Amino acid sequence: MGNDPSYTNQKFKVIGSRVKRPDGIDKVTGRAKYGADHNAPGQLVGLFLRSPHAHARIKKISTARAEKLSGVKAIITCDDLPDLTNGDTEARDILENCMARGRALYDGHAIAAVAAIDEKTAKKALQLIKVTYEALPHVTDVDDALKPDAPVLHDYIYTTGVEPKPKTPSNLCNVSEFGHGDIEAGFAEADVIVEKSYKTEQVHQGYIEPHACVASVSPDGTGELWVTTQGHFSFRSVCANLLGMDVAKLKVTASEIGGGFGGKTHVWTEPVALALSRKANRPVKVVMTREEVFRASGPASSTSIDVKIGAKNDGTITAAFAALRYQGGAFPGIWAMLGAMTSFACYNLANVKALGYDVVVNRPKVAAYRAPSAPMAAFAVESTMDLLAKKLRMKPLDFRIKNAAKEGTRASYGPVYGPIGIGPTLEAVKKHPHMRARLKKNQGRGMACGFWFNFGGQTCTDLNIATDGSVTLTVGTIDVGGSRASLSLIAAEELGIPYEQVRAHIGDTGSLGHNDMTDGSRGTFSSGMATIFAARQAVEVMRARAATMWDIPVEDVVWESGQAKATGKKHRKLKALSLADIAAASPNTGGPIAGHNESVPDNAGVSFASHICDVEVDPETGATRVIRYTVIQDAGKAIHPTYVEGQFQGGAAQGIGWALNEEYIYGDDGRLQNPGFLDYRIPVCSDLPFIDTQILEIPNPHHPYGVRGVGETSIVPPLAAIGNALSNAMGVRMDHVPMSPPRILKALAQLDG
Amino acid sequence: MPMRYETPSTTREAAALLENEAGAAFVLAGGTDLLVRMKLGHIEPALLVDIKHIPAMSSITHSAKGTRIGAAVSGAELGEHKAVAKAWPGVVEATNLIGSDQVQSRCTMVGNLCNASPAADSVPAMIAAGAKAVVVSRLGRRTVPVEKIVTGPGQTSLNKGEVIEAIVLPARPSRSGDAYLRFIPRTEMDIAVVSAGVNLTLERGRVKTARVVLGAVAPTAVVVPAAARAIIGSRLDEGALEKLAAACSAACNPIDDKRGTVEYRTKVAGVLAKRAAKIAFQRAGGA
Amino acid sequence: MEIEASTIRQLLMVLVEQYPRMQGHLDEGVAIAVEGEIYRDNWDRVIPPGSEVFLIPRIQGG
Ligand SMILES: Cc1cc2nc3c(=O)[nH]c(=O)nc-3n(C[C@H](O)[C@H](O)[C@H](O)COP(=O)(O)OP(=O)(O)OC[C@H]3O[C@@H](n4cnc5c(N)ncnc54)[C@H](O)[C@@H]3O)c2cc1C
Repeated sequence: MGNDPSYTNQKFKVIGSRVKRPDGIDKVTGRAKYGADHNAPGQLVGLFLRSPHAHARIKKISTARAEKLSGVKAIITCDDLPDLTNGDTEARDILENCMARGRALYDGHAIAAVAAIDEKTAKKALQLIKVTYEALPHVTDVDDALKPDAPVLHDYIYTTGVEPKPKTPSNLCNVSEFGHGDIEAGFAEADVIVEKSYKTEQVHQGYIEPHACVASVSPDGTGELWVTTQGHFSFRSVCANLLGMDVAKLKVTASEIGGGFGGKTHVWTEPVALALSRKANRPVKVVMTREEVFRASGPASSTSIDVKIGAKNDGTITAAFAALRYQGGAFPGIWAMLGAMTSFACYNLANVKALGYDVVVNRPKVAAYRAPSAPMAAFAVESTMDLLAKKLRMKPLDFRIKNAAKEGTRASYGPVYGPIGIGPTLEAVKKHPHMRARLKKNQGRGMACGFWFNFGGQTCTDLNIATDGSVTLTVGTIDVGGSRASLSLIAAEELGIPYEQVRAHIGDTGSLGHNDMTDGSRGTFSSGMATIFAARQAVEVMRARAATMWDIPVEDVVWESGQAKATGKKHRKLKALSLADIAAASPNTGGPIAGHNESVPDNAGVSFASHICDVEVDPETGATRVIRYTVIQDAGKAIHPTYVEGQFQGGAAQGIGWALNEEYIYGDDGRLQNPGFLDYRIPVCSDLPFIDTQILEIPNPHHPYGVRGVGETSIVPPLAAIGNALSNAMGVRMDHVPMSPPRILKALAQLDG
Repeated sequence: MPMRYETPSTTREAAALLENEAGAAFVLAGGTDLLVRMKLGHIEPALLVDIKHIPAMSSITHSAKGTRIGAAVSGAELGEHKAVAKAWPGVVEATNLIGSDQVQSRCTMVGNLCNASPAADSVPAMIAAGAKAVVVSRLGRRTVPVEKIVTGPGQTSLNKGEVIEAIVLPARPSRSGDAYLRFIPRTEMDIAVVSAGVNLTLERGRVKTARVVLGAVAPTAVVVPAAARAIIGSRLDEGALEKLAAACSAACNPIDDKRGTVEYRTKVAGVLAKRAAKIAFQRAGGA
Repeated sequence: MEIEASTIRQLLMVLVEQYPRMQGHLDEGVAIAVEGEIYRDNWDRVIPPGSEVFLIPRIQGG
């Protein structure tokens, strides 16, 4: 491996230790303030009226009777949200998703909203709003939406990415193509070819905390928004743009977050809450119900995918092809494109082609979900890899090792890889005791690989040293998984002080420059990098202050283990000054000591994982239990190993739920039938085994400590790992996710029959 | 109109309150169905009659006729009652499957019955046990087999002003056993996709009497006499079990819904009935 | 295609000059891969001579 040894052999004092998280006590005692926990004086309750139709023309909305109801302070429809998006189609889609404009595009689409003095009055007002709909034909299935006779959602969508440009509109928004080489020639060279089609149903991120906010807009055009979000700066820009406010005049404060997984990178009710507040001239609180969260806040795509892979008898893949159809809900998305980019990223392929078909249907606007689009593509590709290995009479693991991408491999999505972890994770699988554990009757083992890009992005961080030597670290990336602990460790490491002396906060949008969201596994990577540089800047300030205190040139001062030391013989008598000493003197040496950093730490370092999974199937009921599960993933450098493991385990747990039971179920009427946790079955604790983890550290050469993003990749392999394990347990290949008991029993019956 | 909340101390009083209310009146037992429905806005009661302060509804007593379980006895209390758990392990395990620890500390068998869900867990087990409900009104009381209470999803045969005071489980002959199994895709916190309760008594190693009841395969719990006949007289050999399973599958009249398909429910009903029969047989001391 | 440019910013400017239709893609958002690493915003990134540069669509994460 071409690892830079200067990273591998770094010695750390506190990095890598398992300290307690600063937000822990408040969270377990219920003191932490989440989205719904904030209240403002005079606040109103905001509720939404939502479409009962999958697709309908809105002929008339009569709000007159509701407006007359005592206690109702504002009612808004799309008329109160003029289109200020000025040709920005992405913003326009967000606006229309937040409030329907002439057409209801899915079951649950917001039609109107009410602000009233209490919930009861608001509910009553919703009942008094009369909407006249003209139902239109609808389509919810991604394959059906592409049929020639499918109802077309938007008359302005003409497929892009194809030549010639189509003459009629359709539900196919865009076709994207990735790959290299000549797949025809590659397949011609193959001794064995496997071709198979797969489907995956729609899933929701399933965060426990529903979307919630308190919006307050004052007549002078300033406003405040308290909200549960993965990115308060982005929420600020989006909301200000949609409402025609000056960005700097809207202050957004992020609450603690009860899970987001991508779902809280998008606005849903927030612009409407602000518009309600503006109209009512009072603060408005909006808390979505669980049903609203399911019906109207973005789930991940459902998909339909064809894969074809060919190999020589020696196991070398000669060509790989995938056609991936993803629905983005009622608005164009880039989800199939992401699926196409990630599908073959684990492998070193001479000839590869992936086509992404982005499709619109009458379902809620799709949102990012942890490594968005990669799990479905991995399910299809990794299942096919197992099928092909079987045909080649190779062990699936060896087949993968033989074809794994490595440093210098051209990725299927274009670039050439630097040092990467897919090979090492596979070697680690081979050595893992899990692979040798004995299996009993009706049990099977499977493994699969996964990839995610990770990104960096705009970051702005402040570090302030109080006169008692304690340190405030203010970052602009939301803490979704323990990043305040990791960032405090980094500050402590750089300053040479104990972890307990650092307190990390998430600053509101008034206290820092723009920060991109906590998405793309970037939180600890980006803010960590900015923290390092902010701390180093503060160290420079402290060196200068020490020089002032000693009255010697700054060049004679070095910083070592949290202390300023004077170098050279002539300063021998000067006793080292601690951070606390320098801080205490700061009022008279130039004022507060701070470090600051604004940067764009890109190069978050691509990330790979390999998972091993054992399942047991009850052949009479089709029930599956995951009995053992191991995640092996490259973290670059684990700043706080417990929270890295937490990310590995969390992704695996969500993937297991997705693989086995979670799915959106639509009726023939195009309405969602299971908008609740009773019938949308995320796993409960007792459904899961303890998820074992192994952290590999293949340093990212673009980070001072070698950190890579770790948050997302862990959800990519589970669907396929479980599919492969099931197939080994029962001898049937499951090609439809979720692999629920009825589907399994049906597959077994077909095997018998 | 504000909602009224009453806490009578006798069953008669409760019945009178219900009868005299012109608006929508509901008995409140554990509230684990009722309060959820109120919160969701599905019902807007004018009166709630809380039965948890009625002594006659809060105890478990034994007599020659059997065991009488008050309608306000929670799942957790029932589970801790050693004598009932020994005599009717199937009924108790069915009741204890409801929800979680939190729900168990509140929920009741009668609430489960009167909520009238086709998937209610305690109901097939109660019916298999031959349980009877003591129905009280202002004018008097009647004793009704449990299977006569539910008439359809969300519907019962109770008249206005009627309240169930207790469930009576018959006296238990020796060499008896019962069992209840449900299928859920998760391990807990889920609603039965299909379920089966079996109660049987042995004589010289053979099944002498049996009752087999299925849940979640029809609008109400289904008693399957043909399934009982399939095992009566047998030592529960494979052949008898296969016949039992076939009879159960034949008795199913399920729907395709978000929780399961017709095909799936029909097949698994037989599987669960077989498994429950084996457990009941073993509990009865059968080998 | 061969392009003379020393940073990502320069590269994008030259690209639009030579291929005006690229502007549409740039407006939709792009990320740039230089030697395997993806840059979404850091357009000051120096491109070493002879490097291979890839324009890919700007991606979203969860
Ligand atoms: C989280 C959760 C999980 C659950 N899991 C399960 C499960 O696994 N299996 C299952 O079967 N159910 C489950 N349920 C449903 C519910 O808990 C059960 O049906 C429970 O047994 C209801 O009992 P209760 O005493 O709470 O009834 P209540 O809610 O008090 O009453 C239910 C209905 O019965 C009526 N009623 C109650 N007592 C009497 C009486 N004495 N006379 C006349 N009418 C009466 C009430 O008026 C009401 O209409 C669950 C519910 C929740 C919230």
